Amino acid sequence: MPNFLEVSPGLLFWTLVNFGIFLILVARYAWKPLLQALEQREQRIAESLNYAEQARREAERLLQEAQEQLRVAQQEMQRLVREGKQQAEAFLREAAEQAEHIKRQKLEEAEREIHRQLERAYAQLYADVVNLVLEGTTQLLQQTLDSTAHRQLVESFLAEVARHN
Amino acid sequence: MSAAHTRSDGNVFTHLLGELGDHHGFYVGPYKVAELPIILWDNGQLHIYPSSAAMEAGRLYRMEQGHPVRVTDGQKPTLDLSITNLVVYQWIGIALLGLFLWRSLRRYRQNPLEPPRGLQNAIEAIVVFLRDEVVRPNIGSTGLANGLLPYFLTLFFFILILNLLGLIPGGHTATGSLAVTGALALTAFVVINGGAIATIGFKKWLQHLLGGGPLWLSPILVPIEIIGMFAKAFALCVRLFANMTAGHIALLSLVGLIFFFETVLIAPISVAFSVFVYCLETLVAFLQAYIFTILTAVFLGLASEETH
Amino acid sequence: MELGLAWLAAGIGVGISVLGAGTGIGRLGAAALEAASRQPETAAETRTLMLIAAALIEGIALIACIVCILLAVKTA
Repeated sequence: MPNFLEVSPGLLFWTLVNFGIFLILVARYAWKPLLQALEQREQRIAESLNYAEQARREAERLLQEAQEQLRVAQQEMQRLVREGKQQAEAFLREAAEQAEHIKRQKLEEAEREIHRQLERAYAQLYADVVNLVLEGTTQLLQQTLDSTAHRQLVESFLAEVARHN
Repeated sequence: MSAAHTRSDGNVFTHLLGELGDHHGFYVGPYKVAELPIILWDNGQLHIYPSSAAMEAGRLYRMEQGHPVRVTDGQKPTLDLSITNLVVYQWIGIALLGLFLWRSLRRYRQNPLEPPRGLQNAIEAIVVFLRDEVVRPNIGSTGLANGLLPYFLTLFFFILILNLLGLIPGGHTATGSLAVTGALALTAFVVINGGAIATIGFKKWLQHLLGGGPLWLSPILVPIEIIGMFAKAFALCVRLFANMTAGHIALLSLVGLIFFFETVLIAPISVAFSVFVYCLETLVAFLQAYIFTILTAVFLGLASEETH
Repeated sequence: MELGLAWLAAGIGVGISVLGAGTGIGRLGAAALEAASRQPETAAETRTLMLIAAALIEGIALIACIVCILLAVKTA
């Protein structure tokens, strides 16, 4: 029997002892912390992945929200512009109308004023003419006529004039 | 040459084979570096000598063909528990592994969440591989797999470091001894059957011995299953031993060719083939550690299945 | 003479066991390759199974080889 095929019980015993002690030591002081660290890291990675996924979803949601808001804002803007335009038009129209109205009013007023002045002028003129005529006539006729008879004559004449006028 | 005691018939091959196996004393290559204590259990008495010379001086035992024998009747003692060469190589392997693990574990203690680097990375890659590819898929029960994970990790690294130590020039292969692989196979046997009993209970474990056949077949099946149970462990033992030894024998044979033909012209061929075998042995060192571990896991998985 | 017979037996035995193991591993490798190329997604699993089966075949072959070595180193 060659040396290397022998099974020595001593070597078997020592191998068992060595392996056993090594197993206990290494299981307690090496594999336990190592496996725990591995587990911890794997958990961490899984969490990170989860977190990243969540963040991605959140970002997507936010993007959608922002897009929605943008769309709403654009609609609002268009609406505002349209309304503004309408308002401006309405305002312009109103202003024009008002201006027209005021113009007409002013015109009317002016017309009325003119009429009034004219009337007053007529009345003044009438009075002045009456007085002047009266005065002239008085002076002219002082010698020939008594004032009352002449006055009646002139007034009748003037009434004639006014009627014709 | 260390194994001068085997130089009996001038056969170079036989002589070189003597280099393999276990010796009293610590050897690096063929050179005896240190004496190791010899511990003998004989006739209910424990004899401890610091070296073989001290044993010879004690006049109770003497060395014969590398083994201590009684002076009186030339018989071997009841139990030779000496610290031998391969025991020391196991210690070296354990020390190296301990050093590697300690160095890589320092970083885990500092910051467990940091990505691994260097040696730590290599160890972690192997650990993760063993956990996710070897232990967990083959052992059905998760609790059992997690509980026995340290055993499988230790087994793999223990076998691997011993295999690799044997590949270092001058190193001796502890796994190239039937006693060492036998001890490892014994632990595997205990783990396989103990794990199975712990998981499915003693009764179901006994039912496994029926082989799943009808009751009338049990006289045939039960012995086969029992033999199979031991054969698995035996095959584990022999496989590892033979793989580690076969490479060495191939190397020795190739080198032995030079002496056999007594010409230097054969040397280039010998060297070329030796390098090839050496590379192959490196692969085998990893492969056999893996095979031993995965087969233990597979056998445990089979034994601890609920239904056969 | 007896020693010569033992060596002869060792040589023949190793040859036959290598033949058997080689055939077995060859067939195994072929089947595994076929399986891996048909279903590349399960190649890793196939490789593991192949290694296990190869180890089982190899174990038998190695036991045969040990018997042969025992014959070859027979001295008496």
